[in-house]
Amino acid sequence: MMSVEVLRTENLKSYYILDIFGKKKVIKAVEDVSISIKENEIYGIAGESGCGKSTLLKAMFAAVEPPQRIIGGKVIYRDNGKEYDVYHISEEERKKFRWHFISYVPQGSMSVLNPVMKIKEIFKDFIETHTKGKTKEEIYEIAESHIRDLGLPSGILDAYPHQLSGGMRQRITIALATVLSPKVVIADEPTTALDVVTQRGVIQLLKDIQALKRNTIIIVTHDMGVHANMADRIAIMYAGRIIEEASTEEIFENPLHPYTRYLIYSIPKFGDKKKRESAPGAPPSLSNPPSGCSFHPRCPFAFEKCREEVPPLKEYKVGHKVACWRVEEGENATA
Amino acid sequence: MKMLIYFRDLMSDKRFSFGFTVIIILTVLALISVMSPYSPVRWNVVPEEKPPSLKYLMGTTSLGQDLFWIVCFSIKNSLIFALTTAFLSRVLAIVAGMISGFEGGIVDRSIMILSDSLISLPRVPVLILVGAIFREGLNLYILALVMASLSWAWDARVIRSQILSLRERDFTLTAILSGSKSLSVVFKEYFPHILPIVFASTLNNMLWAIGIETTLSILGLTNPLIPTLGTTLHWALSYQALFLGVWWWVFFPVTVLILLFISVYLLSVSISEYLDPRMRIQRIGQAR
Amino acid sequence: MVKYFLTRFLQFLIVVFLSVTLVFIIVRMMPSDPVEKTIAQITSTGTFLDPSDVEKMIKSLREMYGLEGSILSQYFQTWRRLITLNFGPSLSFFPTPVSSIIKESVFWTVGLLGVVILVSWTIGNILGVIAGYYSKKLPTAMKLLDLIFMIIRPIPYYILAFIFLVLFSYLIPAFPSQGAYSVGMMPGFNLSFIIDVLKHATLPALSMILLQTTMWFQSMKIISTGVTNEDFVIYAKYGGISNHKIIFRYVFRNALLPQVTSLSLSLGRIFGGALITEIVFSYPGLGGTLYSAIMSSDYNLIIGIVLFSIVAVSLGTLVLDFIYPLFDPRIRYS
Ligand SMILES: Nc1ncnc2c1ncn2[C@@H]1O[C@H](COP(=O)(O)OP(=O)(O)O)[C@@H](O)[C@H]1O
Ligand SMILES: [Mg+2]
Repeated sequence: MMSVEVLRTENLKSYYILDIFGKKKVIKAVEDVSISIKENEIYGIAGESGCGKSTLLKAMFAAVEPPQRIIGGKVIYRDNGKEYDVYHISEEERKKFRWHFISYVPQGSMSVLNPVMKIKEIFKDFIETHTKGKTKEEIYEIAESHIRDLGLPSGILDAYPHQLSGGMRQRITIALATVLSPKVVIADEPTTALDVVTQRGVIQLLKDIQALKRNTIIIVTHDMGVHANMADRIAIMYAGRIIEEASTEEIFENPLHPYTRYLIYSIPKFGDKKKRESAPGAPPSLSNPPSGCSFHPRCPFAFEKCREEVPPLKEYKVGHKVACWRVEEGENATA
Repeated sequence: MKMLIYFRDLMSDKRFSFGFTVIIILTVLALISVMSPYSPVRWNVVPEEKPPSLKYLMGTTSLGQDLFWIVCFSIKNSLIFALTTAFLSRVLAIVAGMISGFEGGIVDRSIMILSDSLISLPRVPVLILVGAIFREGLNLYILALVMASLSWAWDARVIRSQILSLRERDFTLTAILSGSKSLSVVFKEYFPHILPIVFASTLNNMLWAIGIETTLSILGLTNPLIPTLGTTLHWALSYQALFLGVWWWVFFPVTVLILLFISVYLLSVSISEYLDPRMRIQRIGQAR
Repeated sequence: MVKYFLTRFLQFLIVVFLSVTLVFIIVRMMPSDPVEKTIAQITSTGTFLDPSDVEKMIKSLREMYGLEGSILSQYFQTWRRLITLNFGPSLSFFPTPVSSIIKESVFWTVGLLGVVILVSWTIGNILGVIAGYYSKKLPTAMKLLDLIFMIIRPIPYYILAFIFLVLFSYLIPAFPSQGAYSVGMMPGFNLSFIIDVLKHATLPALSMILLQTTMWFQSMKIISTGVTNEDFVIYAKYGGISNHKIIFRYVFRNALLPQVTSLSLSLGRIFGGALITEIVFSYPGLGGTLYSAIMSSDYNLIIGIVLFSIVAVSLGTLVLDFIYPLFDPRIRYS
């Protein structure tokens, strides 16, 4: 399959730099992330809470506000065969990509709707900003037909956010983000905090949008079940780094990194009451990460090298990358 | 030790360090009033209406008083008055807030109705009425008591809601189960959470207290023989100090008052920001 | 909705009940015999009084201070006076009824205070929302404004009014120092009278506007700094919506809600400030009249004004609470 790249990051580093009454604190939330995302795919990013997923998404969406900083690396958008290095163009140019090329459904997006405005007014503000010379009626028409296309009741356009359920607000936010048919949609934990039935609805909505608009969806969640259900490819993130990346099938059938295995085994099965085993110990501090492989303090297979050197993310099989010294050793042994 | 760290953090805020310095200077002035060679209530102890000089730092009044010493006495009285009012009012607030939060039910509802009423009651007309009724009989302690009983309501509310939210966490239950008496629970477990609230609002209450006392005193609605910054201005205005060119009699008390207000206010602003976690995040966000 | 209105109304009744009781108690605590004292004070000013007037006055005073009948009946008497708005005759302008003096004064207070609240609330909130929205990197002019406001904010009404009086009436005699219009001017609806009234109102209005603007500015700045960090504002920024639109349609409209509540909560304090400012400028509103009543020991008038003020302020608060749902769709639609 010929797949065309639509967005990529090169050695992206993004930190939070805090100044707490004169004491400087640096949280290394994204470290050396290089990923390449293709047109028309659903790309999943998984990892425990606090490992830097949201930070990575904000960096990719080029919406970095202090205290977050881009420390190094690049984010490249590919639009109409041309590449744009988003941190080397002006803020004005960056804004032009929003909603047309890339959209973002932030974490906790139930609260992104202005409580004192009707849904249609909110849609109008966003559409108006990115289109020129449209009358109010035309804009409402765009919003309404989009809502209808997604199978949502068009009456909700006249509602205020507080009149809608959490699940409906989540869906409205997704509709708002996709109203101008962006090529890339970034969704951060879109199913968290929803009940199971609503979760399914939201997942279905995202899938429908992808089928309808033939675009790319980058979905972040710590819930491996959702990934299994949706994603074409999955990246596993740990302490600010991507530690494994492969197609969904490959990740679930042949996980190479010990941390990935823990994540997969922690999916609860239907009717399963007892909590599944998760990785022992606590996630590392991002302001003072462990030396070497940051997973080593929790890894049952860790050896000398793991404590000293950071393992590189290497492709061991076509389309399957992993950053683990044990895998590297194993390869060397069999080679 | 912990206090020292808080203090150092706070001193890095320019508003706090300015306010703190001024307050210290004013407190020193209040303290040296004990060294005054004259009694503040005696008249004609120095030549009248002398402009400020090395001998009379702030000049002398038409009543033959040395304004510098009068101002020192006034600062002392105004500060004591403000502290008394704030202390009484905080005690009322803590008692009302705690009873309300713990008892719940009808007691809680009555206290809340009372405090709601007090919050929306226009206090100035009531205080002017008190002044008009008592006149010279209104000494600073009665005034402090009246003002305290009018100003506890807001804090009682805040304390009550703090207690309710603390009760939702389970430590009360564990403390009670482990056998400690409820009163000691109150003091050990709740006070650390309540004190910061009370501390920040104490400064605001002092500010209000000095403002009202000054206003009533200037209007002649308190005992004019007690030297406060307000009564000093009252005497100055009734002796037409500005028309007679005795400007210093007005200028120094007003300046000291303004310095006092600004410094207490700056302290209260920076302390409440420091205590408010949301504001703290703000400050972190501002850093480069 | 209905429940909201009912609770507010009930609260209004309770406030009025408690404060009238409080006023009654304070008046009963008056040291020395008020009647003798008052009569002595009035006759000592040299006013000539008809003996029958003195009789009437003594009777009215005795009623007022609970010296006639039982305490309870006196208490009900106070209520009757309030409800019928009949506070008896003024003692210093005998026999003009207190209520007609109040009626005249209310006009000036409401006019002055209305303008002051409207202007300072608008300016303070608009400047405040801008300062709050840009609080992460405040422009220098705003920083300066913030600093000046922070210094003015804690100054009490009396002192600021007094400073205005000294600066702009004595040192620079630009504005009149007292009254609502010049002595000898015939009140009427003509240009020279209106200009005269505006000139007299300038200093009291400006000193109050300055203080209250700082108050609204600072609370709006804090609230809108908070709103600026809310998800829906951050998202609107992501969406590239213009700052102007975000400030007024997103931040301002949300931050306004607590500011309306705050207006209703501060009405008492604002009113108190107006009373005091009027005293400084001898403005013939409720404050100025109250002070001259105090100076001439006109207790009927004092009590009348105090009771009336409390009820009027509570009523104002009630009205504000009633129109609050207009601003907040969350209450309107529940
Ligand atoms: N605004 C912020 N200020 C400071 N630290 C932050 C901020 N947002 C996130 N962090 C820190 O950055 C790290 C990564 O956070 P995040 O990207 O939100 O993780 P995830 O989305 O994977 O749960 C965490 O340690 C978090 O505490
Ligand atoms: Mg996240």
